Amino acid sequence: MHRELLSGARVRCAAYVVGGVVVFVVVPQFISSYYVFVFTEILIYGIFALSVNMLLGYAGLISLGQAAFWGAGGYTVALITVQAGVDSFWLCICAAVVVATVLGGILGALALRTKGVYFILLTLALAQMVWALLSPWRSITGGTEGLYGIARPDLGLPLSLSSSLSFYFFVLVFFAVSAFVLYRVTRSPFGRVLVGIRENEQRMRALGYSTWRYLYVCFIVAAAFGGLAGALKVYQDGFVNPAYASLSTSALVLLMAMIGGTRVFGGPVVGAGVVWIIRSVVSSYTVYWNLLLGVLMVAVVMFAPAGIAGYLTGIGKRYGILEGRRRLQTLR
Amino acid sequence: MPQADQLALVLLNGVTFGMLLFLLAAGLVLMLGAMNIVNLAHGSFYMLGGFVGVAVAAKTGNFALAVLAGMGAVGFLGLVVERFFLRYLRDQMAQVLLTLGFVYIISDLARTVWGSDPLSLAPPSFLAGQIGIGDSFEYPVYRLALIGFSLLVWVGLWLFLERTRLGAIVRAGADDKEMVAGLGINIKVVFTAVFTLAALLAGLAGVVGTRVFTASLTLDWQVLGLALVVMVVGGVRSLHGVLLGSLLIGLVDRIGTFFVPELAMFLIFGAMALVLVLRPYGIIREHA
Amino acid sequence: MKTRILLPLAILVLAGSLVLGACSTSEDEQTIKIGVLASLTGPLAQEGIEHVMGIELALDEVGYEVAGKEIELITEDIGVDPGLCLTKVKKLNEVDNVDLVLGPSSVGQILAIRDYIDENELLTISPMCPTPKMTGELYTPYFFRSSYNYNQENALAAYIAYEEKGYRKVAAIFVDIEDGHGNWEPFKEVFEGLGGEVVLEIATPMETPDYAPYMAQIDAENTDVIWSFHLGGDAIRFVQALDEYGIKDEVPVLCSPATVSEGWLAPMGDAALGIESTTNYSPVLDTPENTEFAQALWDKDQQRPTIPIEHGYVAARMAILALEEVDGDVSDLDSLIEALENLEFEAPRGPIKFEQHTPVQNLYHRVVERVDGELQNTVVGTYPDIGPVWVPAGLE
Repeated sequence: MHRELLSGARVRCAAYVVGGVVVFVVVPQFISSYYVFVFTEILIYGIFALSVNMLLGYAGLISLGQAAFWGAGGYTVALITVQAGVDSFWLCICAAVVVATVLGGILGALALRTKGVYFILLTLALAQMVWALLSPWRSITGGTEGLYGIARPDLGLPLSLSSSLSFYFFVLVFFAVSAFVLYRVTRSPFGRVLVGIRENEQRMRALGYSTWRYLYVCFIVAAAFGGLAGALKVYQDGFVNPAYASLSTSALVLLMAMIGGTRVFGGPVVGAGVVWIIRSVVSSYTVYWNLLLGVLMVAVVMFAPAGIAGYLTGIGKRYGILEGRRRLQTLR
Repeated sequence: MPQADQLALVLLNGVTFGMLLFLLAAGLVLMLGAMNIVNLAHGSFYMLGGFVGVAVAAKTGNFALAVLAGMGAVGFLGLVVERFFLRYLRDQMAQVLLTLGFVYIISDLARTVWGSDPLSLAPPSFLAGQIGIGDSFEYPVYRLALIGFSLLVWVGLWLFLERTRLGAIVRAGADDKEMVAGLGINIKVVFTAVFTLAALLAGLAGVVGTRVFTASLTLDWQVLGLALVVMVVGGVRSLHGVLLGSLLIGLVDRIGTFFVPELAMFLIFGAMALVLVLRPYGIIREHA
Repeated sequence: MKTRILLPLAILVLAGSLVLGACSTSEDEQTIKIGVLASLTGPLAQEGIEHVMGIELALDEVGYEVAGKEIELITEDIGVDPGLCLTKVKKLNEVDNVDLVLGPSSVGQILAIRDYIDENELLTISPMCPTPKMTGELYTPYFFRSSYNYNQENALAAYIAYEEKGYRKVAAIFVDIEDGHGNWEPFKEVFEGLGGEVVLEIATPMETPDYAPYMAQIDAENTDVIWSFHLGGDAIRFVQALDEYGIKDEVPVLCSPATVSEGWLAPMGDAALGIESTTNYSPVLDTPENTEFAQALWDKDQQRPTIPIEHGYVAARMAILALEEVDGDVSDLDSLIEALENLEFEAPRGPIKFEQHTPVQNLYHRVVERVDGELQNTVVGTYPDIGPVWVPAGLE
């Protein structure tokens, strides 16, 4: 009995919990509200990057259009709040996820008719279409400036979300739930089939799996969480603009997933952290932060393709840099 | 109600714009067809070509020299990127993401060297001014020259791919790398050559297109978006398809802009969506 | 997530946050902190860099000191994304504890931070942000600007077009962004109010690669004047298209000063000659104040004046003069605001005072000429005392 309580797995689990509580719950209370704000953004982008990684890391699909869902979620919240004047948070959030999911269903059906390079191009082109729709409609979508004046959600409870810290914990809940759900998906049989498809789609089909259906569901799931993240971002900032759905946003989130590591579940979150810190903190010290992002990306792709998280968790370490890359490539 | 000569002007503009799009997309198609790489930095190459061309023209006053400089600079960059970076990556995902990293690098370097204001390039004096079309309106000579020039490039590329040994190797390499390597041809050198050629095309397009687009820091994403749409519509691996796609998109854009300017961008992507629904692999499909 | 990543990460975050927490600077009685929000990267960076140049010149002139206290300048890059502007203003306010902010520049950026500066009572002086919303429905007492608002410039331009030049029919082509509509609407209102007619009105998409189709829509015989608002590459292409298609030879062009901004005037070449515009400054304004300003700027940065530099300079001057007025006491915000509202001084552009937190100033009518081999906006008319709500007589 004694031994079981102190078994390795138990201790490790306790370490996770304590570590998690310290990092995510205790620390934010002691640092300046500005850093809490930045941390909140990292969590939001973390959800987005995790969703993108469902396609990138698990299904092996490069989608250059995920920003369409981030934007769809964001604009849904803005339209309901600003244009329709309805203030209900839960309505907005559910609507955002629904709209993003439906959009994912439509775009996925179109994009997944193709493979490989064509798929990359199609997702980009479809997202550009969404983006092109958002700018001209000045009266509805606010045109190129977008919509402003979205207040923090009113939960109808006696606490206010206007402070950085309270909104942070609010987002933390969504982050934890999203991460948990996506984690379970990747560890489920569904997730395993996805990886199988990534490795060798023909073999999976020969084994009797309807690969298209699995990819389609994966695409929709990614869209749904992208929309959720976009909605949260709008509440964080208080405004939305067409840049949400732009190509550069799709590229930025791919950057996050890649730099963080596509093969470790938590990698994209680490990537979100690194990219965002460069953008928000490092940019105070140098104007060359875009260059830094580019160089980092190139360095990761060339020397540490498992990403920072991948490297830290041992894929890189176990096999050395070059060996690790070769191993990764045979895995693909 | 628009008059006949207004419509003629719009159509002519559509053709010109389409030909410029072709110049943009040709390099991408080459790279994609031969090496199965989507070069996200293609727009950045184009932008860089424009900036270098403008700088050289400002210093020397010589348009031809500017064109050569633009081509050369970008060609060299392409060579470096392929030889020292892309070559070591086998995985397509890694290749695409590498080019993405270069977009950020090139953008920031361009900003450092040339600042953030847009720049323009005057056409050479023998191409300046207008020429009368029929007796109803005048059309800039430079744009007509652009049409002719793009057609020359198209013919040149076609001849290269169909009639030269290197072109045959490139086409074969796209289909079956192992076979080509088995024939004793160094496929690595071929790839480097193709990538460099594509970069040269991008740089060339960048300089000559400056009159239409002007050199600015927003070009990289803007151009990339347009080039990719053209490729999706025209067929990703077919040179003729790209020409067709460019003309189609050019005309749709110009005609649409004339009647409903606010929806210009949407029309381009809408046309693309329409094609996608009907023919997901583009209008002209080669080697599925 | 494995232990290997979580443990080092946790330690890193803990250590980092403790360091950062300690770094959060405290209030210092003897130093006045001024934050600057400017786009130093991205396509609008040139304007941001010039704003900073003007600000630094003004501070340099007083030796970074006012009322016996030292001035510390903290500059933040806000890129293009308004979200980054919001992030940085929070940083300036919550981490650096600045006493006031100079910046930002665009409509998107100010809208992004408007609620924040209002709730946090953060005094903000912008060298640009000409949107009337900030003195209208989105008014906040903490916002000032050293530039102008859309109304004053364009109302006067419409007046000049109608009354002084005798134009009756205008064709308007402008970029389909907030600034484009914001500039056109007051012009249109005054022009039509005086009796003029709008024969063509087109909003073109941003980054239009080719203005040829719009040239086709201009009916030169039925148009007295062309009005435009364009930025950057769009401005260059638009003006060049007017020239290429021969329209400029037949119809005069009167535009928003943005189109002939010094940033992109040179690349336009001779196509720009003869274009008129109305605004509060021209680098070649021939007054003793401007000559002195141009000289100081040249001595310091080997740079000729531009509108953004002058606006940045004046924004910083506003701050300096107001701080002098309250003897450097930044804790009494109301007095500081009152001091700003009552300021009156000579700027390089001429005399300036304030109404609705926006300058009341001379507006200059200018035309593009080539002088000594360089293109410039030559001043051909001076209109004094134009405030943010100015309208021509008879149209109140």
